Amino acid sequence: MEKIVRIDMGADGGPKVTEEPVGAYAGVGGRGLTSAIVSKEVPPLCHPLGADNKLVFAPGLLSGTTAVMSGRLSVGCKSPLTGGIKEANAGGQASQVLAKLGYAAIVLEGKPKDDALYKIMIKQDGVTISPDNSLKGLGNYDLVEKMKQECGEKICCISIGPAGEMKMSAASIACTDMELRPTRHAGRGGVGAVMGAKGVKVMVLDESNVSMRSPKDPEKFKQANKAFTEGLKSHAVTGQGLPAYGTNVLTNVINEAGAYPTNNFSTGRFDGAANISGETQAETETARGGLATHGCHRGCIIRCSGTYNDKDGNYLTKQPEYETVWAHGGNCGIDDLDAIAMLDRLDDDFGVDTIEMGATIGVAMEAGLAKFGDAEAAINLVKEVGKGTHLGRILGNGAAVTGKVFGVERVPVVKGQALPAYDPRAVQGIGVTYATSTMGGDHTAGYAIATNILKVGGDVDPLTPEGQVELSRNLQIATAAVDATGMCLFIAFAVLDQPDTFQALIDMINAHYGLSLTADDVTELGKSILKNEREFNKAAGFTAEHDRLPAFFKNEPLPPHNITFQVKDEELDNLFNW
Amino acid sequence: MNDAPQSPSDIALDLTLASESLVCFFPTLQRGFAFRTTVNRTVKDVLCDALEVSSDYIEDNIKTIFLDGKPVDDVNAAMATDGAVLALSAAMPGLVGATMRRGGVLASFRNTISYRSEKGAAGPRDGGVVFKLFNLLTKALGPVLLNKGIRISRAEAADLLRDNRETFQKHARSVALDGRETDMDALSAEGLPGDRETVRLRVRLT
Repeated sequence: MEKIVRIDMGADGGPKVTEEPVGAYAGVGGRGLTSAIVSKEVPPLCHPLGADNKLVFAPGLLSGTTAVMSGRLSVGCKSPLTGGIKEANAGGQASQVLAKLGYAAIVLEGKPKDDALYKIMIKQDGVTISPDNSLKGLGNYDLVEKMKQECGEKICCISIGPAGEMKMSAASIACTDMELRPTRHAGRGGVGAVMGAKGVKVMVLDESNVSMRSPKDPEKFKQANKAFTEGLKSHAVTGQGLPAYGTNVLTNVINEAGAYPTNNFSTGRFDGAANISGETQAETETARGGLATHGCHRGCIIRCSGTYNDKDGNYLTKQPEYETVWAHGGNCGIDDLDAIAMLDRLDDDFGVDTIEMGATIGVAMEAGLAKFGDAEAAINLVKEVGKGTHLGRILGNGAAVTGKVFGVERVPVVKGQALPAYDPRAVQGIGVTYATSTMGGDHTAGYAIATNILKVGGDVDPLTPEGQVELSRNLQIATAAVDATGMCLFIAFAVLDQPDTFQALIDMINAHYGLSLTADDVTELGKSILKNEREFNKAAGFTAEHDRLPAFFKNEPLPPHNITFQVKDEELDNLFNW
Repeated sequence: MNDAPQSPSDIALDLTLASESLVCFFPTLQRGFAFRTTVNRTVKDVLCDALEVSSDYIEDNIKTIFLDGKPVDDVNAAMATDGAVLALSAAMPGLVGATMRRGGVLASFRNTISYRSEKGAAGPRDGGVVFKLFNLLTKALGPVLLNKGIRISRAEAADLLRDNRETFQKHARSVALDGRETDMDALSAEGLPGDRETVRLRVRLT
């Protein structure tokens, strides 16, 4: 990955493509690279939809190699939803192919002078860009079908749906999976709106005649990859639970814990949880001829995804993830898997973040636009987004905007981004991460990795609020580092429990690049990424007051445990003091 | 050891089914069912007895346990009293899933809802708990409990029989209702007898 491609969409005479060496950005990938470029090159006070914002696509350090689980693509920019720095990432094929084509990053810059919609083709012999207004208004599914007809099947696509074209702040960027379906999304933070503002509808990556990236020490790399693979397969979560049930295996457990936000975060338990659980979903999928286990990219051995068919056995959508099932399910009082699957399909096709949309519909229900539990009404509200009606434009700009327009007090957002599927009153530590993450309300920003190696547990009594702050800090550092590798974050479960598996990951990086990194270096990498992001947000106008949960979490006890969020503001302010 | 003693207020339904039928009971196993056992004992003792497993099995396979909705860290200290709800799960993915795991370093994240032992529990006696089995454990542990006999409401039993009528008709080896042999056709046609509100359901899978 020796090249960066910059595409100036606003150049005189039309979009201009420039290739340059990686240069000063050598040695970083994924979120490390997107955050480095955004923090260095994007004016923090710029308008997110303006010419000064940049949209960066970066595979991870190990993407495009034979390393298992290395298929995550990072997408970075200034977020139109939060106003701060954003990294969203997605599975699918794009990261592998981009890396094999030799690109460390694609950077979209500037803003078109006309309202043409552009298509970018990236092949082994270079990058071309051309206007194609026949793509206007296409949903992601029809768009990808069109690209298949034009370009054949040895491609993968990175695209936006109508929501991105309309520059809605909940708009996502879709990446196609191994079956060339637009089911894997860089969902959070409105990255799709920035792509729409740049006038780009789709990037088509042609993987004809590209080969795997070769490590500097092939034998050591092979041994490390083997050890890493064995570690993942032997772990109960990555080897059994996730393949059998997918991420939605969490529904029953989180619900039992009373931490399952229900009816717009008004209670922590949903009576209909068993109807939409991962267990029920897997049985339904299997009975209808779908797949209860499926990988989203080549090289995935956890295979936590699946396919969901309708009652007639026809493909409807990929297996909805836990966050989607929660957002469109329990958070809206809906316990109908078919309705949730339809909502997932619509989200993917229109190109919107399922978490943000589900939270938004929950707020809309609180506002009285529909009753909690009314699945048909929820589907109609999402269809408004796709159509771009006035109501649809409000909803498509997320939970915070919708709450403001309709005068709703209980709006579950931090830094403007909707919270995911765990109530912070029941799980106080996740509340610390929600409040302090540079990304806004985000559950993947503070993951667990090799606690006994990275001292993730910290030195402070974990039972105290100070202990939770330290733990969240260390988890955020570790997650940032993993996000730089291109590895799927689900490796974290095996790595948390098995130091040998974490060492195998470091060994792979070292063997590929000819380095001698240690666990301490990984920690420093994570810290440097967070430091870049934190400084950007500060310059963009963020203060300590933005590292807070909405007031209702402190004031409204959550049934069934009847507790409120108890971590003090002063403790949250200590998180980044390292 | 408990063998689901019959209460006169229960309808007794005994089924022998082909093992493929286990999947029909998954919703019931997830939503929860009553199980008669000796209560006022540690969670470890209740599980070892009811599930017929060793403490090593609990350690290795039942990584997430809730007692009345509270995550349990020490199965030797947590006490299952009469009417307690015991939900059992394998290890869970995700940061929050990992926080629910027994005794993990991330347990502090959910400190405010964790189970805390209460002093002064009474001595062991006959009673009952509610079990919920999630994910990998529905298949692994469901047959043991079904074979011993579980208690569900009449309405739930009626729904179970209705929703799985074809499968049960195909896979039934024997059916007994209140001790009298019958068959699935008759059971479907006549429904559950009388007006008793609970069913003691025992399922043998072959």
